Amino acid sequence: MNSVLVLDSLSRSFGVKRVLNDLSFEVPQGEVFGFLGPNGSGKTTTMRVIFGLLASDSGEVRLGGKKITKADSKHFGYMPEERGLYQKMTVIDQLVYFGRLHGLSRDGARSKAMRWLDRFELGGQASSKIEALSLGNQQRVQLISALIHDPEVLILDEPFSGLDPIATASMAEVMHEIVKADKTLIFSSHQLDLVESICEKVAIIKDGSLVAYGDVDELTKGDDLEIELVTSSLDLSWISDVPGVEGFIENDGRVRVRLLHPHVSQDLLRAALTNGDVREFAFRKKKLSEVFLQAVTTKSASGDSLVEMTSSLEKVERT
Amino acid sequence: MPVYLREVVIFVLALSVAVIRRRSRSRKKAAKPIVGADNDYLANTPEQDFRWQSAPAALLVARREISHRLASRAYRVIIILMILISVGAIAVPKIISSSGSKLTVATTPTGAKELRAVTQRVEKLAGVNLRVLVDASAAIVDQSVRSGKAAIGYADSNLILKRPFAPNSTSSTIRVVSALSEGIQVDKILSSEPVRKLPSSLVTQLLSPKPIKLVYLLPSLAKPKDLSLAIVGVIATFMLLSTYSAWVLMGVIEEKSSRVIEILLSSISARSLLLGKMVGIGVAALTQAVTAVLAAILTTLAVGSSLLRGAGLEFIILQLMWLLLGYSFYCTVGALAGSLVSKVEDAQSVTAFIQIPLLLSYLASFAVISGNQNVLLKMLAYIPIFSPFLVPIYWSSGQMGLAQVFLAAAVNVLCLYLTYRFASMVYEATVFSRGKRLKFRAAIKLAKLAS
Repeated sequence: MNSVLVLDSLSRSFGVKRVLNDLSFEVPQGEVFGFLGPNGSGKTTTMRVIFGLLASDSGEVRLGGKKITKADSKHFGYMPEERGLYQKMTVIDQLVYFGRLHGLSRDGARSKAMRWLDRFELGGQASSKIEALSLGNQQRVQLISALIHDPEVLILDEPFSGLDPIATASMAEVMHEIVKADKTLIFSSHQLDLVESICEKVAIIKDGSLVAYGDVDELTKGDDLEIELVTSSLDLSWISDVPGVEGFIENDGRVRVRLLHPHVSQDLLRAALTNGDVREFAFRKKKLSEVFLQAVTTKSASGDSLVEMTSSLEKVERT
Repeated sequence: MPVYLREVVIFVLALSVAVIRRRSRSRKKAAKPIVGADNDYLANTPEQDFRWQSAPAALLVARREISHRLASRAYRVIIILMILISVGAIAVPKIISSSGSKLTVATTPTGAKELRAVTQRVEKLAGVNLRVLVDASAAIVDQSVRSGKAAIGYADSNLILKRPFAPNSTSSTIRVVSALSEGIQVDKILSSEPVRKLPSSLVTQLLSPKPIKLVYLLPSLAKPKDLSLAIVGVIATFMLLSTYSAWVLMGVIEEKSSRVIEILLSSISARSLLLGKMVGIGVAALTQAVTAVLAAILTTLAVGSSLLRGAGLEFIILQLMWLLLGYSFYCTVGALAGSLVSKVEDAQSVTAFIQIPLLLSYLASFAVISGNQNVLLKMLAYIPIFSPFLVPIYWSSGQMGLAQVFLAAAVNVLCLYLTYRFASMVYEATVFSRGKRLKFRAAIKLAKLAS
């Protein structure tokens, strides 16, 4: 893995409260990286430590293999969880101001700002005051302010909060564009379905410690002992007759079958074809929300070992 | 060189370089189109687009503050009020004095003849124009003075006043009474037989003796003729310092509460942000003060007031310098106070840090203006909280020489440096603090931990 950012044993306390506890993980170059955790788990503190808003008590952050210094802040773009814009300033003045603070010339910042505004279809509102914009548009301006200086790594804290589905889709689309341009994007969100669909890799923390880390596909991969089945058959009693089936549950036309061994799946498929038309038949993947819930309700992992991801299938009832 | 002093020096140098470079760039550069090629918003910014050294972040913060303040309605209202106060303080006394310069003297027909002979000389001596009201009898003259129709009466060789004046009074009526008394007596002597026989050159010499040359041992201490300018100075200083220190305080809290601070601090240090904020608001403040002074100068020229001549102008320059020092100190305290809270609704709980010292200084100023000679008040003039108010008054009343003014300034600069250093430490340490107001002691602890 070609890591652009490495967090190495970060610890940070506020008074007696330890907010980050020996936190280590790597963020691959040019990917969307999900940074998850329940409220108060240390996500925002980690983000602040990454680009030097806060100092860690121990450990270090490396960008491109080198320890980060204050001068590296130009390589990061940051969008905080609670939006921070000057309400009385115009959109374009605000963006030029933030661009210039990041080292752009006036013309450079203005040019970049206009291009981004056009991309978000906000070009016509460049001269409007921030307070005159809708929440969604304010969010877009906030994102542009983080992007205006072309950072290598973009850190977005809850970028989807307060957005309607159209704005969410638009934001997700832009995030994909950013990654396509070989930028790295780290974001936190409580909308786990969205995280699952956007991110390639995630890290889940709890109480400042890493409790899960890896590719989304890997983390959500099932144990090959659960089949999700959609069939035309109304009578499902035949399922229990297949040898090696532990149990099954039906919900809204979808049947989840628990097997004792993965090879039983072939017998089940044959039986299903015999008893009706099979519309869907696949090993069931876990949802990221299940992975998340399990990770944060299980004791924290230490070092680089991850929490064992076991299936969270509801109680199976034998029929 | 201490790190804070170095920051200030670098800022000033960078400001100068930025201004020079900007001027040369604006001459060379042709207007560039804003809109670029389609879909190139993700293109990497060319390296030459970054000018890290030419526009220091603190300068950008200062510029934003200036343009933000200049555009605000509160700023425009205050500037209009200040202009009105400046114009009023100069024009109104002049108008009052010119309209009241004609003083009426009631007299009998006999007395009128004597008065007319000395009117010109009395007017010159007293600096007041006279109007002679001729009444039919001494009783009517009495009546005119009693009713206020005339300020002075003259009948049967007596000068008549309504009531006695205080022994140290300097009113124009007293000056006229004194000049009339002297003039009428001199006129009587000149009309007497023995004097008529004297050569006219001797009489002229006696009436207009050549003055004896005055020798001064020390140069004059330039002072305004009265304390009216000092009073205006105190009021203006109070208004400006209250307003601008509150702006710094609110600016700090608003940025913290709206989380703009997180965006800003991802590209600029907390100290640069604080410095830029103070400089920006300071420039806006000085612009107001200078505008008010210009209005005062123009009014002076228009109404022909002598208020700004000589010592008056010096006083204004001194007052402006102390306003600058006072601003620096109070705004630093404002930033410090603002660092203790994170919500705008909690601002009230920290405004006392500014308002109480300002109010005490205001009261102390008027104690000095009213003639209080307490030594403690003189000592307070060296303390930064009080200095911007008290030093100009003490100087204008001649109770403080230039050496003492400079000593007070040196004490102020030293205290300002220490206060700024402390405030920036607290600001930096508390910038992410949330929740209820931090106690002062807790803020100091945080600052110590952070340093």
